[in-house]
Amino acid sequence: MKIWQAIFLTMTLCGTLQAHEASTSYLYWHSSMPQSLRLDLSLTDVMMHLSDAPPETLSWRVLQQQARQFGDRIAAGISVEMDSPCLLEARLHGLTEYVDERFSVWQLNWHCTGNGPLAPHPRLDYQLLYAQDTLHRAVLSVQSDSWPKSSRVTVLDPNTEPVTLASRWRWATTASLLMVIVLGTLSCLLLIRDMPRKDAQ
Amino acid sequence: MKISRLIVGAGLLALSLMSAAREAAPPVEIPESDTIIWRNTLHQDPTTITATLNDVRKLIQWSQTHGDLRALGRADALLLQSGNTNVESRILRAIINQRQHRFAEAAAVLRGVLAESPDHAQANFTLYSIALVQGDFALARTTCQRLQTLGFALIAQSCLHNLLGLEGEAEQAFLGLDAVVQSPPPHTPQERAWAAGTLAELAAAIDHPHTERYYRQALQLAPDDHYSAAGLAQWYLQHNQAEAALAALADRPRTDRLDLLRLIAMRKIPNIRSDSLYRQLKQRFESASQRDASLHLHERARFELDVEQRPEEALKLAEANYRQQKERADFQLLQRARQQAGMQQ
Repeated sequence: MKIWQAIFLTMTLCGTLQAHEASTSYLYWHSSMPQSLRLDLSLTDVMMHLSDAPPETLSWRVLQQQARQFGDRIAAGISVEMDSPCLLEARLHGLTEYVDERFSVWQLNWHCTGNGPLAPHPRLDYQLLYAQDTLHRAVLSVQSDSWPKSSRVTVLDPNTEPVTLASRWRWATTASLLMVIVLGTLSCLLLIRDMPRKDAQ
Repeated sequence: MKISRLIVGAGLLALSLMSAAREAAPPVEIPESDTIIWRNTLHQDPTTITATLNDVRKLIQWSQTHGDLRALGRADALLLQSGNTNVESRILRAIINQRQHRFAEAAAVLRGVLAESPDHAQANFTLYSIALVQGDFALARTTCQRLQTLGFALIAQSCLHNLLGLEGEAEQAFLGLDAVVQSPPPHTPQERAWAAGTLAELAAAIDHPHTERYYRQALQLAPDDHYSAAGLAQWYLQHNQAEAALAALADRPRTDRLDLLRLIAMRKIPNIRSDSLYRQLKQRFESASQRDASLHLHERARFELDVEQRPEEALKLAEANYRQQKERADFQLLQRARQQAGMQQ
């Protein structure tokens, strides 16, 4: 029995105390800006996984100075394609807060060949940080302000297939509204059919 | 009549689809240039970590002690990168799965390891704790007895008495383990600390008047045993000693379970403001359940029961939690939720 085993043995039996510090990023896509995405990535993740040498303290100025390097690493972990892969760049936009953690906010823009009215919806393949932290997850919010308004949230994990950046709700909502119209028309027709019978009585 | 019902139903369906939840991004701020926006509290310089099993063990231990799931994710990534499939790697993977509540996967890996090496102490030990959580007392007993034959006599006595307690003989289990601890077989300090922690838990289970002393002894032997600290705080809360509960949790990590106990204690102490901690915990549970609804069930159930005073919601969560894990605290929480939900009806 090696010493580490004895120590480890005891540690693993001390019950589980779950904490909240699992690494999570947040992605926001909006139909009004179809070729861009907002990425909120915690500063801890940026410094732990994208920095070569994390400093003791980080100022906003230093983060801005290193933003291009971090942006390139972010862009390497995220890909968007339409007919073919798009060119993606990540720019530091500011900071924000989630629960009790500070996050960096990045604006991701992409340029694709073959843009046009018949171009397919962009497909997002998120692989950022999975190689460094298998528990990392991205919470993707897809919103549409065009009628009918809709939103959906998807949690991306290492096994998630590339996600289409368009609202599924839109089609479901349209279908249900069509159903209402059809049923309304049908009920009117039935009411009209019943009316002469009442007159006859 | 039927048609109008259908129309109303279809309309409601359409409305519910249109009012799908909206997720707004939080506001962006641009700080002053020299504002310090982040401080390094990382436990280890990432550049010094290599894909060795020893580093994986260190990260798992850190995660265990500090409740840091980032360290667990890094441990898993390092293990994948190492490409090892030997017995030690498989056991470490099982422990990582166990910490993520993937008990069935972890147990399957460990059964495989034990089929090849039945005398592997760590594999037996980890499978014992998983069997306990799954409520498989027969398997827990088998693995525990195997530890006895492997020379871990004090650990084996502790787990056998713990099982006896879980099977309804808590008093007998306490007295038996107390006698063992008085004149213990050969052991390491860590094994002694674990036995003391089990004894304290058994004392609390029978509401022994000296429960506090047993927990104090366990914490003296293992000051970083936050699980026992939580047990002590819980015991204080049950005996209307909220200040003592809060003190027992001082200088310990901000894990969900410990923060929840802090909040419950603070709400019982006059003139202590707990609004900020309440908001934080609520946000944490919301954001965690968005990521993975199967985690944090125990804490969310307790939050609903003891903080939000919603026993029916708490009961649903406590039942879901008990389907997943069946430790003593999970059973007690389920019983309390059932009782309070029943009282409310």
